[in-house]
Amino acid sequence: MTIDPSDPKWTAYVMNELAPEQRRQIEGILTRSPEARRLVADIRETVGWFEEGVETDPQLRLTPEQMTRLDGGTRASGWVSQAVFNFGWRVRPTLIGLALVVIAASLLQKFFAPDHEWRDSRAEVPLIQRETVSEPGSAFGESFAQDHRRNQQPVVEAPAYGMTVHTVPGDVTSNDSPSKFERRDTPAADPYVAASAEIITHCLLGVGADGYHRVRELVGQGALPNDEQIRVEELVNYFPYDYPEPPRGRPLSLNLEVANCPWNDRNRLVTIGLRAGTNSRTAAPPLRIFLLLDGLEIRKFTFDRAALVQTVTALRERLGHNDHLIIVESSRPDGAFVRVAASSPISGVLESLASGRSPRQFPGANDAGLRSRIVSELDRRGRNELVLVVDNLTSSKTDGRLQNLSRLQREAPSPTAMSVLNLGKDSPWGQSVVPEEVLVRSVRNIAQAHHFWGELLARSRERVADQISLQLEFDPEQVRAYRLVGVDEVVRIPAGHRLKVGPGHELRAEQEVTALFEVVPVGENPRPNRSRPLLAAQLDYRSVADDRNLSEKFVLIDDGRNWREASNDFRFAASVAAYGMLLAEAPYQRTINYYGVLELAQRGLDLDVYGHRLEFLELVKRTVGLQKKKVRFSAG
Amino acid sequence: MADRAKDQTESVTWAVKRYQGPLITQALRITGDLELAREVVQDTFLRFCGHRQKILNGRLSAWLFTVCRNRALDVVAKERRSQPVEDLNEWVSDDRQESPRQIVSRRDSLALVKTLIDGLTEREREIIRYKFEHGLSYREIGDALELTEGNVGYLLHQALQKIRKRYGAKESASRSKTYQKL
Repeated sequence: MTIDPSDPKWTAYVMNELAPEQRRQIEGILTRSPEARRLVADIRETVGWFEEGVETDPQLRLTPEQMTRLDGGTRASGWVSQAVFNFGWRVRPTLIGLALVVIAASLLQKFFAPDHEWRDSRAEVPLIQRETVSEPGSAFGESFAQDHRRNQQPVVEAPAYGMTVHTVPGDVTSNDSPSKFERRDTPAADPYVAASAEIITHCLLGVGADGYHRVRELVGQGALPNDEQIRVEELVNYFPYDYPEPPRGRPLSLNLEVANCPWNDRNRLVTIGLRAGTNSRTAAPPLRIFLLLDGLEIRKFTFDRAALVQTVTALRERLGHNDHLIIVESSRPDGAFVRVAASSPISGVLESLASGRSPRQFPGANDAGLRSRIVSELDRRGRNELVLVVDNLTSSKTDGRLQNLSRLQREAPSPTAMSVLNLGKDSPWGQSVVPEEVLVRSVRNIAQAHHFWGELLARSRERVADQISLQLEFDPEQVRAYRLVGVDEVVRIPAGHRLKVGPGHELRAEQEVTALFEVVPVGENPRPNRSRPLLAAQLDYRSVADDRNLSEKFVLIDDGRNWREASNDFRFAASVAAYGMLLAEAPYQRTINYYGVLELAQRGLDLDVYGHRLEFLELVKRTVGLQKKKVRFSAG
Repeated sequence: MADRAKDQTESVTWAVKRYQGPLITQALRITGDLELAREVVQDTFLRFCGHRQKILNGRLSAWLFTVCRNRALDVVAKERRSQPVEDLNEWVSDDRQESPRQIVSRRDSLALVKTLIDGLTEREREIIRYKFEHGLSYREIGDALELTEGNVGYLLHQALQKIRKRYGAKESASRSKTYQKL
């Protein structure tokens, strides 16, 4: 039987584009003809190359702001939205264009069968097997049960790189000089801590997100950050992850995952995610946020008005039932206080403030008058946040307003925090006018606005757990060495000393902490050992709601999976860590470049509610451009 | 009424998910400016919000691609600011000496795609991108490129044959195993 290889029906068959009858015909030919089977196999293999390699270019997506506008357009049922959101381009429905639509539609109509099934090629992969060990005593992890032996020993704490590493000597046999922490400024050939010598690692949990803001600001201004400005763990912890809620009755959930290390194929990468739930026994205290607009020329609208609207919109979405937002505009004597309700149109509120038509005006808005007015509006039972919105951080007026707010904060009868929201182009980093305890953030888009409010609201949430301690023990039979990603200092504890996590670590409701460990396996070509855990973890903490001390144990078994099979969170966290290491030119990454970071991050984009991850992709691309120019940040 | 509104919202959400990539690709090809292309696509979807679902039902992709194309042409005519398109291929090094299998084995997917589509015509590359990057059907690709389904099928088949011819020799060793599986 002869077949025609140039007939496109063979490809159409492989691509599942044939009608059922044609498909049956092809299958009949395939049963009879080895030549046809060979041809189809060829096509399938060629198609398989593309399916292996092609990912959607992340640039080919609408921006978060555009998605928000579309969302607004959808809610407005479209009929009204068109007038509100169009770009000023008028439709030019020429006769030819209309005719094309009608003809194309009528020709295609009979072929159409609407397929409304959205297929996602990245199927969710379950997290790696995790077990909760109720009783200690298994061969591995037994050292947790024997901790009492070490309790009598003195405490040594070792400050390291953001997230501090403490180690228990265990059976330390090295001859390192005692009471000295070794810092390797120049990376050694094997910069990893040997697991066989130092068995237990404790992580401190207080990790901020300043590092990411700093990098983003600098890159946005066209300069690469210096090594000392890059905190990999702060980059990783800037992003929210999709860790599950803690189980019922527990305030914390611990999430462990392992796959091969994207920047060094020989190693494994372990991610540890700790998430706090909500305290169901006590209601969150009410929060009252004062948005102080007198740092803006609101009547002239010289600032980034879109950013302000997005910022207020983002906040309104996040406020709870008992929370209130009050906009204060006091740049002129007829200033105004406006309570923003859930249904208030933000643009309309700003318009009325700008035009002086607000119904809630108050006279005499000098500094003292403003302070007394705000104090009278403070929530005396709950918490208050004063948010000064400015478009020029360095102006003397901003300095004066901050001093005024500091006085107000001291006079306040209830807990009152301060923050500065910068809509201008100047960077908050290195500004001496802003006190250290004040949260200062620049906002350019809605993703950044959401993150700002996320940070601000997190500090007002209730504490759900404190005295948190996390101990990790790697299996020395599987792990030769390990490194806490972001920690470039290798800390060694002299023999005979007991380590302890610094007291006071706490997590507030919905807070998360993510840590990554790069693990060097034993042997050249190790195989996953499914019969023994790679890692045992013990989580100790006090539950604030019922004042109970709790202890949970977990084990993580490595099933040898590739990072492509790992969760979206794993891939994205790894991509951010890899980006930080590339920026810092760290010695640990071997097989990844910025393009690899982009690929890795793209594969972790799914859970991007506020557009933070898309923004990261833009940051990486911008960094690539700067790398070509080699522009480094200079303090001078 | 509420159900209808919900259906419409979900329909728009689905359409955005499904078509934003191909539409931006189409608009980018015409405008040469990514930001402009995104704006065109946003405007297209806003117009879609304004149409009753029953009118569009059954010819959604044709409607979207036509509106997007017209809108992009309008913008270009007005703005006159066409710029060269930034190519994804700039991201990867030149791997012409390697076979697809070798590239797959080192898991460099971007290099793989660049290698495969190198040597194809512009139209064939576009079809490959729409098919494998965006997962469009023949009919939807035809809507985007103003081709018939038959044309799309022929061009895709031709493109895959070219690729096969180019790399077939390098892959011959592994071919016999593949046939035995069938």
